[in-house]
Amino acid sequence: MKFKNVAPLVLTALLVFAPLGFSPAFAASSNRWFHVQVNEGGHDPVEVTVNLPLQLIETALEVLPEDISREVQIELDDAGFTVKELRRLWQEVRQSDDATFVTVKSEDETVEVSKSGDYFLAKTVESRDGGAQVDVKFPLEVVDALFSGSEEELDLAAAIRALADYEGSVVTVHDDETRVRVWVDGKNKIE
Amino acid sequence: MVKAIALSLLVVLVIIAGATVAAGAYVLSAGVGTVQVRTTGPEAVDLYLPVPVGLVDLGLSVASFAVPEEELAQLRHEMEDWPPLLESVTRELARCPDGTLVEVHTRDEKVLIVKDRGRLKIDVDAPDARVRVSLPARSLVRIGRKLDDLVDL
Repeated sequence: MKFKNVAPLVLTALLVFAPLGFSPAFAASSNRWFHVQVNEGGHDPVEVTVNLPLQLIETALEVLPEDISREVQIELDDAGFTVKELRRLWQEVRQSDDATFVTVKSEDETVEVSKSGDYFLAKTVESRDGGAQVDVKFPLEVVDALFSGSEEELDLAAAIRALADYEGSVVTVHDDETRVRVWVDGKNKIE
Repeated sequence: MVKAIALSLLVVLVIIAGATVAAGAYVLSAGVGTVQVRTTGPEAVDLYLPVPVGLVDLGLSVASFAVPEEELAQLRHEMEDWPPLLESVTRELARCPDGTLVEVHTRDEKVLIVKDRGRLKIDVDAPDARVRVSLPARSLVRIGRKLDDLVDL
């Protein structure tokens, strides 16, 4: 499986999950929280913490304005993929055994996409000193739920419902100045 | 004759008093939001404003027939699909457990959005200003619903 076929999957997943913590069926459990924490050092340090009940995000996604849904579609179109194609690709990944599907090493970075146990994993490491490392870890059920909608649409609300059964990090990013973590747990604050 | 006039006046006063109490109860039933703004500098401001949320409610109700139709049409066009989202988000905000929803710290500024004992609180601290807003969380639902009704007309 070539990287260019899998990268849109990873990009789609990041696109879906990264903004969810900011930009709403039956509700996810009310005691599940979606957290985003950003710590940026350097000359102008910034700390950002977002804690949102998954239920709120799910509800918002159920009634998401069409222009937001269209943005997701546009991103996919730019990557040269339709939801239908991604769904087919995902089915292949789902049915395969644990494996590293893609390893791409370039001068600037190394990208690895794999499936391990119950998770779909993507890892990017920049080659430069202090370069960013991005780790993405999605439960397979969450991606299944994402593709559970109609043929040409991603079901974001279903993905959030599936995320309620998960506990742990979804995305982490760190380099020499910045740390970003996105995770789900049952606590309404970061301890 | 005098007795009849006095009785009529009494009835009118009772009606007016009753209507005033009812209106006050309606306005206050939505709770009271507070806005506090303090700035520094030559034109420093120190403002504390309690806002009965019911007034906002009433205002939005009146807007549907007081605002010119072309302006309402413009508003509907700009808001388009957002009111259902607003209503859903405000409803869930009112229901969700207490907690710190958003916290931002930079070198000079701090922003905090917290749900605490049924109230949504927004605190902003900057070198030249301090803002504190506190609203009953349930009032957001009413406002969200009113906006939805306004756009749906």
